[in-house]
Amino acid sequence: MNLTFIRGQTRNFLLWIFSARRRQRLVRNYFFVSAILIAGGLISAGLLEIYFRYKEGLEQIGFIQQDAANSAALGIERFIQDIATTMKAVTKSPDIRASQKRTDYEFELKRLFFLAPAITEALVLDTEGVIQARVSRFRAVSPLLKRDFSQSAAFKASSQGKSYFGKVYFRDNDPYLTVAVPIEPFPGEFAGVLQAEASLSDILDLVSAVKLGKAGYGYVVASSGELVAHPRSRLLLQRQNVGELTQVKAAFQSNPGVFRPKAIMTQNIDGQTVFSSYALIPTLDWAVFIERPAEEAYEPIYASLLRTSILLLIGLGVALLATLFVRRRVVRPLETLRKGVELIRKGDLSTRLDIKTGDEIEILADEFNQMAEHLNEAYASLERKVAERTQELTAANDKLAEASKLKSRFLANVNHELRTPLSSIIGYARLLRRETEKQISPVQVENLEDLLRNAERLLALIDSLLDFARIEAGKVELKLEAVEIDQLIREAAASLEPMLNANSVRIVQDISPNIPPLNTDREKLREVILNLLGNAVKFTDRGDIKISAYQQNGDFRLAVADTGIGIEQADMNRIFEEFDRGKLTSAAGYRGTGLGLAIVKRLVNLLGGSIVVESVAGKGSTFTVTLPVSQHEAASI
Amino acid sequence: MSEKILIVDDEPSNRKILVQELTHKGFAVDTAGGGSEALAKIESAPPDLVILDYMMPDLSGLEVLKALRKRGNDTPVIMITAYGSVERAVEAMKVGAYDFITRPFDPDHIELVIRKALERQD
Repeated sequence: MNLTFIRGQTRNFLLWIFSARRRQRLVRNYFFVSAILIAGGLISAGLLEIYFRYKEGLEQIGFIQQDAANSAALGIERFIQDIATTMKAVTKSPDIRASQKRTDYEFELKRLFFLAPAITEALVLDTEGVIQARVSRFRAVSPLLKRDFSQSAAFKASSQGKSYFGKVYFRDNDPYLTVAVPIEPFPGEFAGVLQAEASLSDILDLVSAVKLGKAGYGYVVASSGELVAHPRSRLLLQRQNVGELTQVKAAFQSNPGVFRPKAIMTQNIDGQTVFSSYALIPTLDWAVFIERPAEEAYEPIYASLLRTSILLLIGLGVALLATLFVRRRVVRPLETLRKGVELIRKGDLSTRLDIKTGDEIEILADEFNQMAEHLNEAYASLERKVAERTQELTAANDKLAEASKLKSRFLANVNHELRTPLSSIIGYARLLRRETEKQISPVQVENLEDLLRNAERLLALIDSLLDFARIEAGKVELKLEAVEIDQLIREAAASLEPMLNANSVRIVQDISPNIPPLNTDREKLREVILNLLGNAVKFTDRGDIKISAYQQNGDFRLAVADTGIGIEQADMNRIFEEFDRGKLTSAAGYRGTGLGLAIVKRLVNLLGGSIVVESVAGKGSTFTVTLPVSQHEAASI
Repeated sequence: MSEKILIVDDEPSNRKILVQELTHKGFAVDTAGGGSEALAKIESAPPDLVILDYMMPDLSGLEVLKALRKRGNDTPVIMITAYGSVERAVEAMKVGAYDFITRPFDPDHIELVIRKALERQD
């Protein structure tokens, strides 16, 4: 398995969890962290376990197979050496050494059959390689046939004083081996050769019969690659050469000095994946192979993997249960606490928590309950105080409202009561003037005019007072509509025309084109214009009165400039206050209520604008009104 | 033949001034000192036009106007209101007054209003 890959994946997973949302629920955090820690521990422990099991399992397979191969190799070796030893022992017989009688030889040779059951045929060669005697277990041989074996490998090796082991050959489908030993009455004295054909079936059957586990098997291969023994005899009959198999090559090329027991994983003759071990038989130049299908060899490893996985799952389940337990014990009470705090925040001060965990959380909940209790009490007393104060305020307000109502009624009454007689005075004065026309002296006419003028002035004063009082009392409501300013100014100028000293004073209008209609109260604005123009007319004996309208910095501006007496610097700040007419208070010849500019200022403020005055005493004054083009926030005073 | 105008006002001096001014202008004038009296006079001797004071003790000008209109009488009515009570005047015109004037009135102005009201009636 690729550990780097797993590490990378784990890191990505952790990054995903912790970078997703900072304010994750405790439950989620806790669950994931504990799950990761526990699962991570379990998984890594499980993986390590599996890894070592695998390694150990392979080693064990190696050991077991090696053991089997070694013992098989040893068995074969011993079997062959036993035959050679037995043959050597027989050569010590005086009959074979000395007797020249063929029958004696044959007797000794037949004795050899009893001593070595594997031997099926034996013959004795003299020093020249010529057969002296020959016997066979199964077939009749001519004892008199003096064949010459002097050129055979067996004779050559044996005449040098060595034991000879030939190559395996098959006779009647049985493997045979030629063994030859020198006949030496004394060491160094060469008297002939004893040669035998030994059947290997029995011993090789032992190897072929090897069963390791369920499907393990053994076979023997000669260094030429030829199969010597195999559980499937058909392969033997076919003279199968397995020299090309990886394990066979490895076996015959290996250096015995560095040989280490192990099993290599490779393919067998059928292309099946197997674990293969081998042992060499040096005498014969053979190798014994023990092989086991990988599938079967892996079985314990798979079983271990399954066991570990089950343990892992159980561990994860336990971890999950532990997390749920912790959730029930810690997270859920915490969640309850959080909800409680939220309820308090939302204003439900009657919230109380019922947490019985018997730990710090319960203490916390108790503290929370006490805090909520205190909060509730504090809040209740606060509410009580607020209610008391509110009641007091309401009472005071009621009194104020009552007073205001009284004031309004008083104003209305004053209006009615003052105006009724005044109206009568004016009415009768007019009647008198008309009825006495051309019947009284000019002085009397003058007196009557004075009476009428003063009565009208008193009426104007009352009207202004009433206006002012109404504005002050907030009784004035704005009626916003689209107002064409040029039309309004023309009308106002026209209505004042009769008051002008026609020879010396004129009203000049300077209205810039393209002024959009103002969204304002037409009547209030008309009153402002009339007042300002009226003032100008009143104080100007000769020269121009200029009324201009224009837009500046997004505001609408209206300026009325006269060439009248102007205003003293000291009076500039007071002229907008009621009943203050500057130095004119005592000046004869200028009539007025002293309320005009105060009303103008309040009306302009009511319309959301402002008014300023610039003046030079003796030269004239300029009043400039600034109004927003659109009167959105029409503040009533 | 001069048009007949009924002046309804609780204030005698007001009535007197109006009577003199309107007589001078050439109208035939009758008076009533209160709402009930006015309604009775309108019934017995129907005038061509009524000048109604808004504020009267027994029946207000508005009530008289409503009573008239309720009876199906559409004699033109000019309401006299106090200065600054435009709201009342508007209310009166909604009920059916032809126009309103505020005290003290300019004799020429009131004549103009009366003539217009009568013209419309014709």
